Amino acid sequence: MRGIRTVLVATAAMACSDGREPLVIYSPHGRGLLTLAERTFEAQHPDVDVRWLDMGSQDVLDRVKSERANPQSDVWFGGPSYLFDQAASESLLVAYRPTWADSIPTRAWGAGDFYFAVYETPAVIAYNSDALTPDQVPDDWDLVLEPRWRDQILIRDPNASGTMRTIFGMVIQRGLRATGDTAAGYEWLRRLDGQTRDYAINPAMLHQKLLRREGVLTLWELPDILTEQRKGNPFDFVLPTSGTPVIEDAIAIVRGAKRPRLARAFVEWVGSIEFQIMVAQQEFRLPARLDVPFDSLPDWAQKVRTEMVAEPMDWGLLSREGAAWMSYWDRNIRGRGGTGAQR
Amino acid sequence: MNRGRGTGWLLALILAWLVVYPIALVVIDSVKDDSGWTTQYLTAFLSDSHEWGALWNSVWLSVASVALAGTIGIPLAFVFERLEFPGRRILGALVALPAVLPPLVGVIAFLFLYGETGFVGRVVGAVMGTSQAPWRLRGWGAILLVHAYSMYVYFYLFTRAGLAKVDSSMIEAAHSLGHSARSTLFKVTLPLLRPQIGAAALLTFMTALGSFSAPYIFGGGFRVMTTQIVTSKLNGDIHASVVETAALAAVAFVGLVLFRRYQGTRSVAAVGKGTPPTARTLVQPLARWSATALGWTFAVVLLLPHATLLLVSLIPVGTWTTELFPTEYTLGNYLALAAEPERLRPLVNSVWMAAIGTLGALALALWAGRLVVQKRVTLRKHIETLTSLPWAVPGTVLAIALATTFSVRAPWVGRWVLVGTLAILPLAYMIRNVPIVAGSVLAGFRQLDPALDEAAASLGASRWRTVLRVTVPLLRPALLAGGALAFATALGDFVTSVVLYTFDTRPISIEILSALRDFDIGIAAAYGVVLMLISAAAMVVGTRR
Amino acid sequence: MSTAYLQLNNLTKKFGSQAAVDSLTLEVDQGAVLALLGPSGSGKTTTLRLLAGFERHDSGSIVVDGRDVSTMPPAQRRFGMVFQHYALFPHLTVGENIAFGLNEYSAEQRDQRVAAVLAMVDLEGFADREVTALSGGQQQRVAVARALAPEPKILLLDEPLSNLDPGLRERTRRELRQALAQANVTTVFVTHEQEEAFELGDQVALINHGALEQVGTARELYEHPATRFVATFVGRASVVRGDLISRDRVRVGDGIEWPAEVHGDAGPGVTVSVVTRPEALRFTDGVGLVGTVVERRYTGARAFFLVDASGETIEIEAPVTAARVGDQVSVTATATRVYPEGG
Repeated sequence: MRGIRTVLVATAAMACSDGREPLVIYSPHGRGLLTLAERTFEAQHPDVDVRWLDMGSQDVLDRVKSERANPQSDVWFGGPSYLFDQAASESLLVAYRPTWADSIPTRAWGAGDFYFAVYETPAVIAYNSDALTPDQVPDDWDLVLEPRWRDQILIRDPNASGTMRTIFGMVIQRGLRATGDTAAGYEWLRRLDGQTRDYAINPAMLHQKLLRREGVLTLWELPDILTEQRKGNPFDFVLPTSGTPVIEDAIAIVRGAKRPRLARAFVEWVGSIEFQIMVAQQEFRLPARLDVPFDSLPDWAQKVRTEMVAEPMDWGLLSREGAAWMSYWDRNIRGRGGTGAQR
Repeated sequence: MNRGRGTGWLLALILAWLVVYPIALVVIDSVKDDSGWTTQYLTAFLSDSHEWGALWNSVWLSVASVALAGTIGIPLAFVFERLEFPGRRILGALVALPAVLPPLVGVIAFLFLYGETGFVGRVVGAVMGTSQAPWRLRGWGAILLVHAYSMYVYFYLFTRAGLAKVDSSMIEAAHSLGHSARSTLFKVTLPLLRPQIGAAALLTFMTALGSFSAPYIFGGGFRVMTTQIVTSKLNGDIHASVVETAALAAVAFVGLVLFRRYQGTRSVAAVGKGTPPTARTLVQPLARWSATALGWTFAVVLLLPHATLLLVSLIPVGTWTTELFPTEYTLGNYLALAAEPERLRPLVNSVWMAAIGTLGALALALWAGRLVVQKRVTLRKHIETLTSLPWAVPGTVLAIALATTFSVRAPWVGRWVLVGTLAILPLAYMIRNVPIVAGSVLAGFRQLDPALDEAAASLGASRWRTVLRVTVPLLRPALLAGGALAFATALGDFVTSVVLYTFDTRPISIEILSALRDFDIGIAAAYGVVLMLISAAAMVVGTRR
Repeated sequence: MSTAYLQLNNLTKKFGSQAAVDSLTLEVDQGAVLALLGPSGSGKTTTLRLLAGFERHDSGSIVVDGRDVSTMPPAQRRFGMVFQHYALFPHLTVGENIAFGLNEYSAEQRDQRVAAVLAMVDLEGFADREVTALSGGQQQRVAVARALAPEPKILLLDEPLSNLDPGLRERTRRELRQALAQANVTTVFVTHEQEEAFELGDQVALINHGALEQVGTARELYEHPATRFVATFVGRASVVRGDLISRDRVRVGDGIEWPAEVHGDAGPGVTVSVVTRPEALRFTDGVGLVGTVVERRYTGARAFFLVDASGETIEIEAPVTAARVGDQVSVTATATRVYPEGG
C-alpha cells in the first residue's frame, strides 16, 4: 500500500506542476460560489491550490463512498444535512467542530460534530415573470394544486435532487402530523403529479424549460432562482405562507483526507462572517450564522429573513425514511397522477 | 509451439482478469452482504414486478432499436455505396458523423431540435398557429427515436464496409442463374453481409441496452434497467443496484450468446478473390433525380442535430427563449474554453486518456491477433471470445464493476486500489475499446499472407523486429480504422467516466455535465462541437486509405 | 448462313473512346465449343460479359436460336456462367449452390437435377458439403455443375482453369471436356492459354485489340495463320525483316533468299515481316543468315537455340549437339510466311 501511495503522491505532485499543495473539494454549489471560495482561500494561503469538482450532492455521497479505500477529496462542501447524516453513519466523515459552531442554530449541528450547516436554503415557489404577474402566483403549497395550474408545473427529478426530496419529505411529514399516516402525503404528491407538465433531469433543464415556458411554475430552491435572475432570466419567487422547509446546507471533512490541516482551515474560512457576507452578496446564499450583522446582508436576504416561515422538519425521520418514500413515489405515484406528462 | 502456448495462457488470463473478474465480483456481490451469503436481495428483485417491467423494457427497447437502426442504416449504406449521384462522396462521409456525437451532447441537441419548444417544434407550431409543437418528446417513442438516430450509423458503416468487399461476380452469378435484382438482394447480397450486419446488430443491441442518457432524459415514467440502477443508487439502496447491475449483465450475456449463434459457424469469407461492384451511375433523369433527393434528404435530416449543436454553441446565455431563431450570435463560448485553464484542462485530459486507452487496446489486439491468427494457440477461441466480451457489458456495469474491483487492496486475488488514481479511466477506456479494435485488427490479420511473416523470419529478423517492421506496417489500415473509432468513442465517453473520474482526470463529458448544471448550455455545446471536431479528425485519419 | 445457333453480329462495346470489342462477328453451332483466345486486354472477357448480359453493347446484336437477346437482362437469357474465381455462394452448401438456378423446379425435381449434375462432374454425395471446405478443383467443378444445372442455352466460362495449380489443371481440363461433351451444350469460353483453347475448343477465335484475327480449328490456326499476329501468337515463331523479291521468295539479312508463302497484299519490292517456325529453320554449313548462339535450352534429345543475327533474334530447333553458346552459325529456312509490315 505504501508503495502505491508513494507512486500516487509522486504522480499527483507531478500533475500539480506549480508545486502548490492541492486541496480537493467536492461540492454541488456550482462554478460561481466555488470560484469565489477558491480565489479567496488561495489569497490567504498562497501555497494552496484549491481544486473543486462540481456535482450533485447525491453524487458526492456516492463518490465519497466508492473512494473509501482511496479518498480523493478533503472537504465535502454543500448538500442537505440528511445526506451528511447518512455519510456520518457510514463512517465517511471526520468529526471537527469549527470555531463558529456556536454561532449557528443548534438544529444545524450534525450529531457527533461530523458536519455543520453554513447556509440555510429555503424552498420556494418560482415562476417565469414574463408569463405571470406576482399577484397571479400561488403563494402557498396547496394552491399549486388548483386546476388552473394543470400541466403548467415543472418539477426537477426528485430522485437526484436533495431539494426536491426535502420538499416531498415536508409534504409527507405534514400528512403524518395531521393523520398519522403517509397516505395523505402521497395523495398530495399524486395530485401534484397530475399537475406536472414534465420532470427535468437537472437544474439546467429545469431553467431551460421554465425559460421556454414549457411550464410557468416550479418548486425549487431560492439561491438558484436568484442566480438566474442576475443572469437576466425572467425568474422570480414567492415564499410559501404556511412555511417552507429550510435546508441546512452543510460542510464536512472527509475521512482519510490527505490534507486535514488545510481542510480545517477551509471549513473555518467558509464559516467566517466575512465569507458568509461575501457569499450572501454575490452568490445568494443565506448565512446560517445568526451573528452576521443584519445590515450587512443584501436586500433579498433581509426580506427573506423577515418574511420566511421555517417549516419544522424532522431531519432524522427524513434521513431514515426518505429513501422508502421516494421509492414508493417513484413506483406508485410518478406518472399516475392524472393527465400529466407521464405515462 | 510451447512458447505460444505460454503466452496464450498469459493473454487469456489478463483478459479474464480485466473483463470477467470484475463482472463476476459484481454478480457475487448481489448474493452477499456483510453477514455472508444471502438470496434476500435477489428474491426481492425477482418478486418485484417493477423490476421485471424495467428489465423487459430494456430488452424490447434494445431489440426495437436494432430493428429501427437497421431499417435506416442498411438501405442508407446501399444508397451511398451503390448509386452515383452529385454529392455522394461528401454526404457519404457526413452521414457517418453521429458516430462522433457524444451521447450526452447528442441528446441535448435532440432536445433543442425536436423537443416541444425545440426548433422543429416551433416551426411546426408556427405553421399550425400554436406556440409549441403538437407533440411531446417523451416516453419510449422518444427513446427509440434517439437510439435509431445515434445507432443507425453502426449499420451504415458496417454494411458499407461489407458491401465494398462483396465480390461482384457473386451478384452476376445470381443474375445469370435467373434471379431478379430483388431476389439476388435477399438470397445473396444480404446473406453475404451477415457477419457485418450481425456485428452491427450486436453493437447496437449492447449500446441500446447500456444506454442511459436517452432513457434518463426522455423516459419520464418509462423505466429501463440503467435508470433503475441509478435510481437505486441515488436512493442509497446499494444492494438493489448491485442486483440490478448483475441482472443487466446477465441479459447482455444472453444477448451475446444468441447473437453469436445467429452469426453462425459457417465462414462467409469469400471463396475467391473478386472486385467489388462500382457505384452505378443512373442514366434515367428521374431515377438520378430521386437518388440525389434521397441522399440529400437523408443527410440533411441526419445532420440537423449537429447543426443545432453548432448553433447553440454560438448563442449568448439566455438569449434564445421563445423566438423562432436566436437573436444574437457570439464566439464567447469558444473564447471561454480557450481562455480559462480550468476549462481547457478537461480537453487535454480526454485526449491523453483516450489516446492511452486506445494504444493499450491496440497492443492487446495485436497480441491477440498474433496468437489467434498467426500462432493459432490452443486457447485461440477463448481469447477471441474474451476480446469481444466487453461489448456484452453495458458501460455502467463495467464502470461499477471496475470501481468495485479496484477499490480494495488484495494483490493475492488480483485487486489493487486504482479508484481515484490516474490509471483507472485509461484502463476503463482500454477495456471498453478492446472489442472494436480487436475486431478490426483480427480481420486485418486474417487477410495477411502468413508467408510474409515467415519470409521476415527467414531473413533473420527477430520476433519484435518482424512485428514492428512487417506486421504493424501491413496492418496499418486495420490499426488506424479500429484505433480511430476507439479513440472517438473514448473521447466522448460519459457513462464510464462519470463513475470513475477524479479531479486530475475529469474528462470533457463531465465538464459538459457540469456546464449543464450551471445552465451554461452554450459552453456545453461548444465543448460538444470541439469534441465532434477532434473525433471527426480522428475518423478522417483512420479511414484514409 | 444464318443457321448457326449463336451469332454475334458486328458486336461493339466502347469504354470511353476506346473500343474494347470492335465490330465482332462470330458464329457457334449448336453443341459446339468456341474458345475465345487472346492476350490479356484483348477484349475477350468483355465479349463474354456482353454475351452474359453483364455489360450492355453499343451496337450490333447477339442472336440465339434465331432470337435477338441483346437487350435482355442476364436473368432472362438463361445463359450459364462459370466465373474465373467461381463465385460460389459461401453461405450455401454445394447442393444449395447448384439448386440456386432451379427456381422453377419442384423440390423433388430439384434434388434429382442436383444429383445428376453432381454425377456429371464426378462429385456424387457432395451436396451437403460446405463450399469453403472444398479444394480448388472441386470448387471449379461445383461452379460448372451450378451453371449446367438449369440446362442453359449457352454455357459461358471465364478462364475456367486459371485458378488451379498447373498439376491439377491438366486433369481438370480433361474432366471439363468430358462434362461439356456429356452436357452437349453450346459453349463459349475465354482463355489466354492456347493449349487450353486447342484442347477444349472445337473452334478457336483469336482476338486482338477487340477485333477478330482469325477463327478456325487449332490446326487451321497453326498451319494457315491468316495474319502475322496469328502466326506469332499461335505456336513458336521468330520474326525477321525482309524484302519480297517474287511471289515465293523473300530476301533477309545480306542477300540471303528464303522460300516464302505470301499472305495479304504484298508484291515484289515490298518490305515484309518474315515469320518462321523453329522446326522450319536449321543450321547450315552453306549460305545462311549469320549470327551468334546466345542461348541453348534443352528439351530432351533436341534443343531450342536462340541466335542473334544483327540484332534480330531467331529461334531454331535442332539436335542438342548442333551448336554451343557463343558459336558463329549460319541459319537457313525451309519454309516461311511473309506478311506486309505493320499488318
